[in-house]
Amino acid sequence: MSAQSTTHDGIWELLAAGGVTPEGDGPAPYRPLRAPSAATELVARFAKVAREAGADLVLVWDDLDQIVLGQLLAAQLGVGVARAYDADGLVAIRDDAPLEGRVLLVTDALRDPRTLAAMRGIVELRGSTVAGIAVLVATDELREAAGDAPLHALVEWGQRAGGAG
Amino acid sequence: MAILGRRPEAAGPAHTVVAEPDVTVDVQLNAQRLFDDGARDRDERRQELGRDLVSAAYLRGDFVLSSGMRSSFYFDKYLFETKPGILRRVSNLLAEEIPPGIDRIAGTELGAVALAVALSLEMGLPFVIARKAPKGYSTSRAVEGELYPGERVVVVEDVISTGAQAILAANRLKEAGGEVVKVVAVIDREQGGLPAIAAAGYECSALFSLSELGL
Repeated sequence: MSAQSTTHDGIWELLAAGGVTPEGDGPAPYRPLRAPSAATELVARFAKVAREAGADLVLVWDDLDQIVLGQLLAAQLGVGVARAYDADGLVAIRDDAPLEGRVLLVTDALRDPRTLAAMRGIVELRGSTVAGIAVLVATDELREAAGDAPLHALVEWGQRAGGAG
Repeated sequence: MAILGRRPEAAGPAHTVVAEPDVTVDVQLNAQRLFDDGARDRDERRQELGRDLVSAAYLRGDFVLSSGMRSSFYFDKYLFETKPGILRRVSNLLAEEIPPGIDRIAGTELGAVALAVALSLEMGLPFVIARKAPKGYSTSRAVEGELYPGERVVVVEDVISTGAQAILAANRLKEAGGEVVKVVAVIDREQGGLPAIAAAGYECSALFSLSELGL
C-alpha cells in the first residue's frame, strides 16, 4: 500500500472551512458547500495527490457532500464521476459516467467501512480496476479498510498539528 | 378462478430466478388455507412458507451486497413482500416472535416497511419507520411516526446479512427514546448477523436461516 500526502501548510485551515478540525477522536464530515472557494482551493491540492492514481473515473458514494467533493476533484483530473448507492441491500451505480477503466474511489474520510467495500465490490463486479482510494483525511481505520488498494491521502489524521497523534 | 400475475424486475445486476414464483393464486384454495391456518401445525406452516419464499424471492447471480460482500445469490424481499398471500403468512408467523407488552413495531426503510405494516395490522400495534443513516450525518429525521420515551419497540427486518443495518436502526430508535426489546427478521443469511445483533445488546431471532431453507 502506498500513501502520498502534500505538505500541510494551510490545508487544515481549508479543511476547517468545511467543518473538519484537528480536534476530536476522528475527522468530522467535510462539507464543501460551507465554503466553496476554500473547497475549490483544497481540492486543487487534493488533485495533486490523487492524480498519481492515473484514474479514468471518480466514484463516490451517493451523498451530497461526497458528490460535490467528487465533482470538484473530477474537474481537476479531467475525468467523469459515477455514484454508488445502496439499492435496498444491493450496491448499484447511477451511471452518470460509465463505470469503466481505472476507477478512483473518493471520500472525505472513512464514514463506514462497508461503503468503501461496497464501492470496491461494484467496481470489480463490473470488470473495472480500482486505481486507488483518494481521501482527504486518512485514519488507521481507513488504511485497514483500504486493504491493498493504493491510498492517496491529502493529510493524515495522526499527524495533525495539535492533535493527539 | 385463477389470477395470473407477472414477475417484477429486481434491482441490481443481471440475475436468474431459480424457480418461478408462484404466480397463480387460487382464491378458493387460499381462503381455505387461511381458514385452516389457525389449526395447522406451526412447523407445517413454516415449511410451506419457507418453500414459497425461496420460490418467490431467491435469485442467483453475481451481486455486491451493501455490506460490501460479494454473493452468488440474493433474496429480493420485494418479490415476497409484494405478494399478499406470502406477506400475510410472514406477518402471522412473525407475530408469534413478538414478546408480550410491546408498544410499537419499527420497520427500517424501505424494505421492511411493508413487513412493519403487515405486522402492525396483524397485531393491532402502531408502527414507526426507522430511517437509514449510513453516514451518521443525515439531516432527515431518524424515526418517522410517533415514538414516545420509554416505549417498548420491536424492530422488524427482512433479510439479515451482517446485522449492521438492524443494529443501526435499533440504535437510532434507542437514541429517539424507545426501548428496543427485540429484532425479528424473516431470513437470516447466516453471515454473522444474529450474533452481531446479540453482541450489540439486542435480543434477536429470524423465522428462517439459509440452511433451514435448504440453501
